[in-house]
Amino acid sequence: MNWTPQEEKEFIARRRRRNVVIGVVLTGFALLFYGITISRMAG
Amino acid sequence: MCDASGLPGSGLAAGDWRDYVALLKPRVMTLVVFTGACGLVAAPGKIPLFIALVAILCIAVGAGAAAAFNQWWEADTDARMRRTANRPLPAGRLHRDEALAFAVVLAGGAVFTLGLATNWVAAAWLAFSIFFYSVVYTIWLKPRTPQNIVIGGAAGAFPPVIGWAAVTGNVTALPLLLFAIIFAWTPPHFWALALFVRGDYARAGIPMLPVTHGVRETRRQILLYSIVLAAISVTPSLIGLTGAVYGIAAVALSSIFLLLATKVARSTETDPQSMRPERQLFRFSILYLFLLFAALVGDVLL
Repeated sequence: MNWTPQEEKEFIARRRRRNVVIGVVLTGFALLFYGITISRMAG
Repeated sequence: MCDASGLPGSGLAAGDWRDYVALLKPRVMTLVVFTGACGLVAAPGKIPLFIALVAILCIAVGAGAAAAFNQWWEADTDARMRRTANRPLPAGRLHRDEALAFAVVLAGGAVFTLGLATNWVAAAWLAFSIFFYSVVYTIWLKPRTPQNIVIGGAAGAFPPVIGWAAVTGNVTALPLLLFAIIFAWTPPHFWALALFVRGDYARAGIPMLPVTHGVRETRRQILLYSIVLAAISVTPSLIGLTGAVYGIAAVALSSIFLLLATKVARSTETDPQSMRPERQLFRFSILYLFLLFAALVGDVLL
């Protein structure tokens, strides 16, 4: 791949940010289902 | 030419997370969330607060999924319009396949989660609304008929029905009237916008009413739909489904709406830059829907 160091750095940073967001969303999803389960059981 | 990563020739997908958020059309989502929440609050009965928040989240994500699907399908058209050329797909920051996968996962996740959290009636309405916007409106009608926005209005009118169904498990007269209000509101709202950006639609080959039938006919139809909107908006109050707060708000807001629509209908301006009544109506139409639904909630809470 013909990337300049700047382009490569930018690509890696963008990929890292996206992975962090995916991690946050998945954690949120787990908490969401935990909350739904507790609420349904209480209801 | 950029590929999915936004970098020349990388061959790897690493779109920024903000591009995925942009696929959801978050500004449109505001109105969806608000009207969905109003339907939920106005419905008789109670559900736990957490479940109510989950229901609103699912409605929002479902709307976002439909918007992502819409952008996946219209990437070529969007590239030809100034207003939409910088969206993630036409700008080359995301790959079309990524957008489609994103839309499918979100749609399935939203419907499934809503069904588990509330009931499958609400989930079925959500699924149907996503299908309606994505397939009936985006793929089928939008490129074929100048009445596209009338049908598209139905797609945006589902949230209060879904919110209501999430609480009650069924759909009665009031949520259907709320549906009808948004349905009748959409044409004057979008045609007011389409009048002053019609050059964009013409360039993209989208058969919007101002492009196919001209400015004068569009102004006439704006007035006609505004009259229908006003009639439907006051109906819940007239048949005793809502209280005084909603009734007063509906009459006052609809009067202003009709006044602005009349100004549009009487205008003869053809230069988009000078279309002041159209811009006024477009701006007020957003406020109209927010205030009308807020009044509905006010009625329930007071």
